[in-house]
Amino acid sequence: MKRTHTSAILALVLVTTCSVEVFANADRVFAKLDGNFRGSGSSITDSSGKKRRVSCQLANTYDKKSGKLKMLGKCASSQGSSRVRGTITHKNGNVTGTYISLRANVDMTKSTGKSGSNSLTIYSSFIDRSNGELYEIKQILQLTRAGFQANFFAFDKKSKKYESAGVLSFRRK
Amino acid sequence: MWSLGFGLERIGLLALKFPKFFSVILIMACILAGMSLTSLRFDGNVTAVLPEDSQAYNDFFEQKKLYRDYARDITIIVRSERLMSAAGLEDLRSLQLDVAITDGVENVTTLFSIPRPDPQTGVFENFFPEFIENDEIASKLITELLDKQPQASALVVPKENIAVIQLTIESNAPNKISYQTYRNIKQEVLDLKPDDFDILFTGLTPLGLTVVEALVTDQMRLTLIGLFLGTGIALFVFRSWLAAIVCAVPPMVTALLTIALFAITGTPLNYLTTILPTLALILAFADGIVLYYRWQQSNVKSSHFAENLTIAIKRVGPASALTSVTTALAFLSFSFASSSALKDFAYLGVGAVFTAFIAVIIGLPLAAHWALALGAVKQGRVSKPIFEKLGVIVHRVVFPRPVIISVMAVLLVVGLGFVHNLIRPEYRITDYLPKHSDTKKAETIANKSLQGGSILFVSIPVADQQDIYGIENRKKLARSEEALIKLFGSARVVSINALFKQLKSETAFNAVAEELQSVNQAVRSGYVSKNNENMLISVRLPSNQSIVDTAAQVREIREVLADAGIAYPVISGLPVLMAEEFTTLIEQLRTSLLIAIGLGVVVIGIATRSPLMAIAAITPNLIPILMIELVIFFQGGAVNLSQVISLTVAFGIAIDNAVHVINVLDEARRSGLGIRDGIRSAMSEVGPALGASTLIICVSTLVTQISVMPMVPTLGKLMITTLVIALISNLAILPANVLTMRELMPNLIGRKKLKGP
Repeated sequence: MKRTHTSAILALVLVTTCSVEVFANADRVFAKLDGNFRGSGSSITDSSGKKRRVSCQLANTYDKKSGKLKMLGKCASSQGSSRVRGTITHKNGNVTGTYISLRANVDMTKSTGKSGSNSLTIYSSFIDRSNGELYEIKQILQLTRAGFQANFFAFDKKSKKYESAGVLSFRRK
Repeated sequence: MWSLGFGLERIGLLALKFPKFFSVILIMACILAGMSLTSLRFDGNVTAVLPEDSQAYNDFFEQKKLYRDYARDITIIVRSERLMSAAGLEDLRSLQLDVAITDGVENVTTLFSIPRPDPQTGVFENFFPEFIENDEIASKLITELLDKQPQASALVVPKENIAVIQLTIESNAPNKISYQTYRNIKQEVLDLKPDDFDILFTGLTPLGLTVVEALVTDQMRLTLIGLFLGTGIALFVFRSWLAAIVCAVPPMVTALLTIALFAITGTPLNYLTTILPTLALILAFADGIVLYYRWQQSNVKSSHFAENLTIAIKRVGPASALTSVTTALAFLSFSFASSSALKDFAYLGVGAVFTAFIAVIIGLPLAAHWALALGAVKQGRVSKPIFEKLGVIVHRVVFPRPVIISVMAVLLVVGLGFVHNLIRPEYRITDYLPKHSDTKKAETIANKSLQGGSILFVSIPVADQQDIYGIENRKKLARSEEALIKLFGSARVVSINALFKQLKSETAFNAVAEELQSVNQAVRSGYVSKNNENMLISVRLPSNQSIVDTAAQVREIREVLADAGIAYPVISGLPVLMAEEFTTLIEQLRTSLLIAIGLGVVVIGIATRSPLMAIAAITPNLIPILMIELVIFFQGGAVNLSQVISLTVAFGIAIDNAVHVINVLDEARRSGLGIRDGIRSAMSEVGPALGASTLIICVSTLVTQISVMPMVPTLGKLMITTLVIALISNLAILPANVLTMRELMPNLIGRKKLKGP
């Protein structure tokens, strides 16, 4: 049965530094994310806070000229499946984009990010329209030999720390 | 005055007069036909023959609109020795997730999708934990699941190491590409599955694709092997390569033009019409061989080969034309059924028969003409026909006791007519699946182990339209479900009530109701109509169940629901549609068979201008059909769609025997012979020819036995049996009837129409 999914699966917004090196890193990482990927792992998918097994497939297209990476995909847990889509852009070393959430009724309020030589780190905030609560998410995309690994963290207001919310390993199809 | 064949043989004479012109026309027709084959289409829908304007048909499609299109559901049956272990179940879960994200898949359900709501709060949790730690826990969970939710036995069968992944193809995938979508999904699933998982697919889409693939393969095999077999028979009969090649021309032209008929008219080949090109090819072989046989006989006596060819056309052509008319009428009788697919079958059947006739009456003389022009034809000897003594034996048996034979024939028809009324119509969807196909295996497993591969739907109007999951509606649903469980058992009956039964507080009901509002439409429409005005109860039935049993169950459902105070339930689904419509359709086809018999007899009467001859032809041509029905009666008493169609087509071919006997008798009478001498002469001449042509058709028809479509071999077997009985009855009973009528009505027959000796 379909249930709402949480934020943590795919948050791909990035703000990079203005340096040329960062620009080159971002361009390289974006280029490596171009293509079709299939991944699996576990993630928190609802308000119960329990981690569930999740599978995703993504079709990413990177336009080098505009620095835009478009994503189209589908994720599923034993509770159902949802389509995911989004766009992130890097320009002059800055990474901006749209937070992709499987969770319904949420509005993204802020998204910043940076690029390393083989990774992207994204911080996002959003408000759940149903209860007005603010959520903060950190996502780290690490390039691997087969594809990339996405690590998700949710900010825990009690411990005031980012706690692990899930990890998905993607391999190129 | 017209000839026996309404003068249609003149087309052949015209072709001989202008061979170049007709050759160009024939070649051009073949080229155009070949070019049109690219637009040939195949239809694997096994319900395509159903009438489109009936209540059951409307209910079926209304249910699709109200809920969803269940034709898009695919059942994946997973089997593995280690499936019930913790590792096996985890692999199944991974496969489920991988299937769920595959392109074209809208929704996936497995045992891992089954919820276990908290009875007090209604908070949803999955029945299975996110990770199954060991085999013991796995076993315990499955046992508990089946104990608490017997409906889950359609998703998992631990004793047989079977589990099911139920998927729905995206509703935005257009019908035309759903086969391609299914193909892609299937390939992806097969690529993703663990090596030791055995996977089978079933559902209407896999079933349709299996039928389509079988139709394509079959069409090629039947046509090519049919041509090979027919050429072989011609070679065997004439012991001459030239004869074999000349006799192969009409069937080749027939096969090509008949298949092109489908392409040109835009009619897809389906599981019924797939036999038509093969059937036309067989008819062309039989008629062509008879024509060539006559030409060869003349060639032995005279070396005027061209003249002999003209004589052969004049002699054999009328009978060929009349037999084509009777066979075409048999096909035309299907147009009386209230199904557009059967009407297509009727009209294309008529087209195929006349294509065969034209191919023989034009193609064979032209082939023979060009063989003559090339100097390939030489005068030779002809070996004695293998059925030379058949006519003699028959008149030795018939002549001493014609009245006894006639009376016995009438009594036999009356007796067998009683059996005719005892036979009930039958249709099983599994009968139409290709033999040894994976889909058939899957359907067999679904029927044997998974509570049935077919689903009957009972749609109950809600009591309270404001609150779909409110107490009034829940009570009504519970009452309905309870009534159905009494009939079918709890394992076969599925509704949202299975979830409600687990809840103990109104808070829980409210929480679950809220959760249900947000679920995927594909899931929700399995329980509640899109307009929130109806609730759905699904009942699993075996797809190989008799339509008679299903019809009885539908009546019982109506009764128990009425007893439970449930008004206006709509009972639908494929089994209901088949039970109600195929019963009517098969009855209509049985009427078509009687119409075909009537028309055949009338045409004989018109062609011979002798109503008494037509009457004499009734019993010998009814007996083969009734005898087959007797066999069907002893085999279980149920006649299915393909059998009744086969009987009608076989009748159309079988009555040809009577036409040939009457044709020769007519000629004997014209030459001044009396009845007894005329019959003796006719039997001696026509007996061997009919024996040979029956043998040719029967051997050619054997090609049907290689078909993977079960209907085609059935049609072949019934045709062969009917033809053999028809040969005997037309050689024995028809002359006996003529003689008996002469005995009973000497003034009428002896003096006016048939001169006595």
